[in-house]
Amino acid sequence: MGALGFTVGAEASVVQNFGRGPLLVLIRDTRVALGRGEALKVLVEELP
Amino acid sequence: MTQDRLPAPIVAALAGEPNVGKTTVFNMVTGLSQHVGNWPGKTVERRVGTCRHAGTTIQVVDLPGTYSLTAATTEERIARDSILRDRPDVVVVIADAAALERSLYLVAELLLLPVPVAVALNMVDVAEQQGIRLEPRVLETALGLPVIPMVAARNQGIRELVEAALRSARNGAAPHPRRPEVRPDHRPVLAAVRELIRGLVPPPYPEDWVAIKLLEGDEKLLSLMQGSLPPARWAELQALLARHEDAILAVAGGRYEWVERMTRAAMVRPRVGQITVTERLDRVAMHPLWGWLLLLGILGVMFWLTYAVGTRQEWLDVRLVGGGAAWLRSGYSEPP
Repeated sequence: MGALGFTVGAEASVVQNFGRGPLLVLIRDTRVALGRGEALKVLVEELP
Repeated sequence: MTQDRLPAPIVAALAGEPNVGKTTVFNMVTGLSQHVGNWPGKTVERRVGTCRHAGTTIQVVDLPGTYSLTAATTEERIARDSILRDRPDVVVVIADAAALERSLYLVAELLLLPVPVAVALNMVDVAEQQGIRLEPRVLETALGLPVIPMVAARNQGIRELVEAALRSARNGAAPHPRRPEVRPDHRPVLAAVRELIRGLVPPPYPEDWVAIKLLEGDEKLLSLMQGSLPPARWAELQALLARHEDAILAVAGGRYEWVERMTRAAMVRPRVGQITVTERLDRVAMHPLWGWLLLLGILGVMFWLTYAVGTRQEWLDVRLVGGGAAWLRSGYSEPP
């Protein structure tokens, strides 16, 4: 995950999040598909 | 494994993430002179080819596609072992110009290894289409490495890449001045790890690199060090690493900070709101309902094609095969 760009301070935005399916996250110019379990382990805070 | 009879004076390894056009570059450079086999004991394909440029023979090794060099997958293990054991004269990283930050992460990892590195900025046309403006010269100055913009699929920049790789190979690996560093909060831990393993790392692994990889929790190197450290030291190292399980974030974070510094002046991103074709496709393919329907649709079409074409034996036999053979025959002269 770290190598894919999920590091402290990185800006990410959720591109897609339907029901209980996987999420599509845009991080560092790349879209990464995350399972819900994986996504739950990522700590985020909302940007204004 | 196949081996060339002639000794190749220069060995170049191609590294890069999956789907950046690494194999396209490989094919362009080597043409038909390729050997395809497996990496020893693995089911991962190993491709080696040769290329001649201005009287020099270059042996090109296509490393498996990897995002990083931590031994989490077989591909990553193969890629790094190949670099460390076989010591290529130069490693050429094929980077995706449209996802530059992620591509440069691999460069950040490679700079810790004792090999010269050259960067091929592939698919600059795609980046342009997405509105990303790149300055290869600025990136080159920032990185201190040769950067060659190219479009491998259209044979643009291949020649320049080969020339740059040769230059790097001949110049050798100078210690890189602007290496990525671990985030400041974990530098003392890194120093402690380095102290614990000093003089006890078996070749061909560089000590500094092993120290960082241990912080990242690299299992292969952990077991390597377990075998070569005295038991008391090993226990000490293990305890230290257990206390700093989050060190991997400092290592990866440090690398991405380095990447950001490198790309800051060299890349201008498009305004937010530009939607690419892939994004539009993803929107459908990743949708819980439309995604499944799309899959069913594609499978249905394949099924239909198999039967629609496959049941028309006569058409296949007489028209396609027979007609094709006749056309081919007309191209050759009659035997005497």
